[in-house]
Amino acid sequence: MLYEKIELEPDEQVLRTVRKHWFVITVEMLSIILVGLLPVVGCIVLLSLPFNLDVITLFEQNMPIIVFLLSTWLLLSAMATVMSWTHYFLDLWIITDRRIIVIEQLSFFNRKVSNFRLERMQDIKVTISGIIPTLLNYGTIRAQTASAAESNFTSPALPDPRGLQSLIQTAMDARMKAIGDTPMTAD
Amino acid sequence: MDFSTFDIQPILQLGFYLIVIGYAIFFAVLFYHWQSYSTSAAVTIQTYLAFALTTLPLLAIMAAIAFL
Repeated sequence: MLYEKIELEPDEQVLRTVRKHWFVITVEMLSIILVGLLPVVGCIVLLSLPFNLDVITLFEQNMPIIVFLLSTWLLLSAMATVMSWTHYFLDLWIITDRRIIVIEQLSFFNRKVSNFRLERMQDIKVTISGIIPTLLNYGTIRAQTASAAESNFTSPALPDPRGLQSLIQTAMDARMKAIGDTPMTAD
Repeated sequence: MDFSTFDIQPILQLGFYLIVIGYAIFFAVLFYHWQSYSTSAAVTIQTYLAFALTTLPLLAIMAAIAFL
């Protein structure tokens, strides 16, 4: 399991783990399922049309091949759905009292793990753009660190971004106090 | 189009073997990822179960068509 592989520092506590908003994965998986069912629905519609003796004959003569091809298509759709779910579930933020660990599962063979220490964090911006994100309360979080520009990170479709911003800000302030530095102010 | 004039069975069998090979590779990769990177054993098991319950009946149907 993942937590066994992430070596937390002594006394480091996980404050929260965050995945993308449920709406994102629901839409993605429903789209794949709908595309997967399309040929099956198409066959049913074709067979239910009146005066379609030619189509019925075609289906009767080639039923094994049609069922085989439909099964193959459904199998590929099921695999695509599980792949989508896997990318969703394995893609996460782990916020601890010392750092933010951002794990991006971009594809099966493309995984990016980044660590951002709270004391190096400078600015956190939240963007909630659009009707659905506003209603469902999800958005993009952009964080800027004191390191090089490539250390800045952006994560879209995170749930309750303002709550996360507040949590990170509080953790940053606590961290700065703990290491005896002046807390940085947020926007 | 009428496929009844030639034997389609060997083609279906070959197709089935190729699909099974692809399926096995996919499952191996899936298994590795969930075993290595999952944060919840319960979700891992549920994912395996859901995947098996949706795909194995389809493979069984394909096997039946290809070999029976």
